[in-house]
Amino acid sequence: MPELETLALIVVRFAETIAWAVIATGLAQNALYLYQLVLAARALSQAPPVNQAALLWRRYAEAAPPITLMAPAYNEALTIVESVRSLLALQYPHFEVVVVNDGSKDETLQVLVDAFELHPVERHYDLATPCQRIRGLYAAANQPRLLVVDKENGGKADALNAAINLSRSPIVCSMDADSLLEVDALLRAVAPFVEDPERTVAVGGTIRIANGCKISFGRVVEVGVPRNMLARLQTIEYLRAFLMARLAWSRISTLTIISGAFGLFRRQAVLDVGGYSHGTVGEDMELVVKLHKHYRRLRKPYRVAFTPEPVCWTEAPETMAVLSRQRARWHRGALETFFRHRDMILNPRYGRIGVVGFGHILVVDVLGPIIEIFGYVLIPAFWLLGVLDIAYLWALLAVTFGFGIVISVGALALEETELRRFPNARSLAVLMGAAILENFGYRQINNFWRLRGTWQFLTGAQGWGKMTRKGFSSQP
Amino acid sequence: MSSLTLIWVIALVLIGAALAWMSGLILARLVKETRAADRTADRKMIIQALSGLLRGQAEAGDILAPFVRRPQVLAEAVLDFQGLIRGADQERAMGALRRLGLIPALETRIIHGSRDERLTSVEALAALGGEEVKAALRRAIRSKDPNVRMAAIKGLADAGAPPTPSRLLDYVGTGELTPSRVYSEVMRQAVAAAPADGLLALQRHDLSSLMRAVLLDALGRSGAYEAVPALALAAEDPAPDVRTAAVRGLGRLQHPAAASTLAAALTDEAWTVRSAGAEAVGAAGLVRLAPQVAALLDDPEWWVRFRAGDALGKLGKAGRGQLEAAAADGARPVAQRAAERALAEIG
Repeated sequence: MPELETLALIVVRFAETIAWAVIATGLAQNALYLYQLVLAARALSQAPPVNQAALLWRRYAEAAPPITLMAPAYNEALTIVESVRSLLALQYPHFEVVVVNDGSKDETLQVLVDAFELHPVERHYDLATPCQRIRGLYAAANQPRLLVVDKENGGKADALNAAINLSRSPIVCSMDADSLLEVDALLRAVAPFVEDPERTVAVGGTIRIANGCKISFGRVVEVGVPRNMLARLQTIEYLRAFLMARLAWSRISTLTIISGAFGLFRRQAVLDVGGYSHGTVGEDMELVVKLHKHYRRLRKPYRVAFTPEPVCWTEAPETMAVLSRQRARWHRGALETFFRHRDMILNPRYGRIGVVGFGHILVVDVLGPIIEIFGYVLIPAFWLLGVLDIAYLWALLAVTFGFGIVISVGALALEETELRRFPNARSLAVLMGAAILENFGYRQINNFWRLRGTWQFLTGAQGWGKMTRKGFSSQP
Repeated sequence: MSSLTLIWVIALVLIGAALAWMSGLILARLVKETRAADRTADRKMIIQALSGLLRGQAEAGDILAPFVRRPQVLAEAVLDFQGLIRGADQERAMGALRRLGLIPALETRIIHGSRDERLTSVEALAALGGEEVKAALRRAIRSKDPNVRMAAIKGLADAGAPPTPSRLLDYVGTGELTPSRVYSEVMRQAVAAAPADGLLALQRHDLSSLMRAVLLDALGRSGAYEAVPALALAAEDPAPDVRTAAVRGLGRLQHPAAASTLAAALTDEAWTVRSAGAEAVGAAGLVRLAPQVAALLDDPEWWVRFRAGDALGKLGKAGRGQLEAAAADGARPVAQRAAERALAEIG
């Protein structure tokens, strides 16, 4: 039966090709992560974080430019007053807080009016970026730093555009209304604007998981390790994403995303690219990519910087259902931006951003999940069919996990060496356990969620999905 | 060794290395926790001793003396403490530290310390004050670390002995410093201390537009009226950034002799210059330019309209009259809206 033999040979060859493709992708990803780890370690050793807030004030306060904090709020009546009070108490010489009530259906506006004794005011502003109709502005003489904007509902990007229109500061800070900022967050993040004012157009900051931390009056007063395993795994994941990947990419000028939970932008630069884009769930990434594109096209020197110090804390989902929706949405947002700007993919005209930045998204975000899932399904199937050598399979799997553990531990090591925000050796040991554990199941599930995001992108699904949070008041 | 064995060896080495790394970090943390507690206790002791010095406790100097051999912890405590006291008390405490020999100890750390130590040491050195410190800061400017150089220069400026404006420009020219916002602050201090030197530096031909703008900004903030002619001349520079800085400077000096230059700025082709011109007219209170400023209420650029409305609000009756007239003029809807908003903001 020569035909059967030929067919068997083809199946074996196909199986081998798939297996090697999966292995090669895995190794390429791990090599990329190792490269990021080295870059991040160099960045941290050359610019060590400042631990004392008083020193930051001494160094930057005199030269710090005014900042507008933009806090979009939608149905946040229960928490908005505490959030705004904590924002108004930030340590920074010149800042204002613009809270945008994005057409909330609850009492968000009324509780703000009552709590801060606000009254309607007039302010001269330009509709420089598109946003829904602004219904009114509110301020109070006893809170000169606070301006509340009441507008029709248009989503986060729309609310941020409204705040940019009303801002009169050269720097704007985007954030989520439920983000918890460090008291010196602005002083830390503004450093690149002080040190390199001509080139810096945006600065991202490290976001950390607040689950397990002690929170009082809208501030993290004691850092802790989450008790919930899912949140603990995300703690490691955030360290890898922020302290390693984003710091590394910012060092080689290829950072393509600044988290919507906290980011500083030169206002004029944001206006030059038309503000935040509507119709995407990844408006934060979209804005940064637009900035890169704009400055690369103009051939103007610019810088998108990143500060490794934790400046913002956020609540991580503690259930699989909520986390899966969040991850699918994030992935959909990344794909939307990637394909909207597909002309930049590996395009040398856009320098490193086209080649490294978009190349990285292509390998890790676009192809990575598909190939990895392909591998998880096909390789065991081929093994069952007897066309793959199980001994090699186990050995290569061990290498992949080994790499994964080294990288997660490396990210934790960066935190421990330069920042040391976790309280004691015990918490470190617990997190190291999580760094090992996340390689066995969590990463793989994450890939399925990302694949779901790919599916949503391909089918044109819209919306954010239900995002349930426990709320910070229930934190220990 | 077969390829299979090699793969397993690689895997085991990776896992082993990760486990060893983890264990090392945990052990290091245990050691650091003890050291951190000691360090906190030391800092507390230093601050208590410095307070004791102010109360005239004789033993305070003896408590502080051993810490001169550990200048980093002393530097951190000095920076904390210095922010809490002023005037004669500050001089007494810092004088005692100088006499204990802290200056040479900090100088050693500026040369041999880690990046963080170098910067903290130069900042603590600046906090000590006195002529000896100024000499040490001048030596620190030669550091290879640009952050240390900037901190040393800032320390000198805060101590009333900044480098000359021309020297500061040289530092950027040679790449020893970058024109950061801190640099601009120091330039302001340097020009305020020696406006004539600032004016002289403006005549240099090797200055980029950016550096000319930095210098003009400093001249405008110096309060030196002799800078008016130079600023007026710079307001005709081909570079918009230079013209903007010059016009802003004239606005800050608020000198009536700048009126014709500011009037010209109101019709400049660059919106940043028109905006700065309107702001300057308002700041200088040049009432007779109110009609020209009012003409900017329907400028294509929002910032110009906003600054024009704001400036008219500062020009008293004449400005308010222009705003009210524009607010009533339905033939100029853009100007009408700008005037209405400006009047509403003025209240």
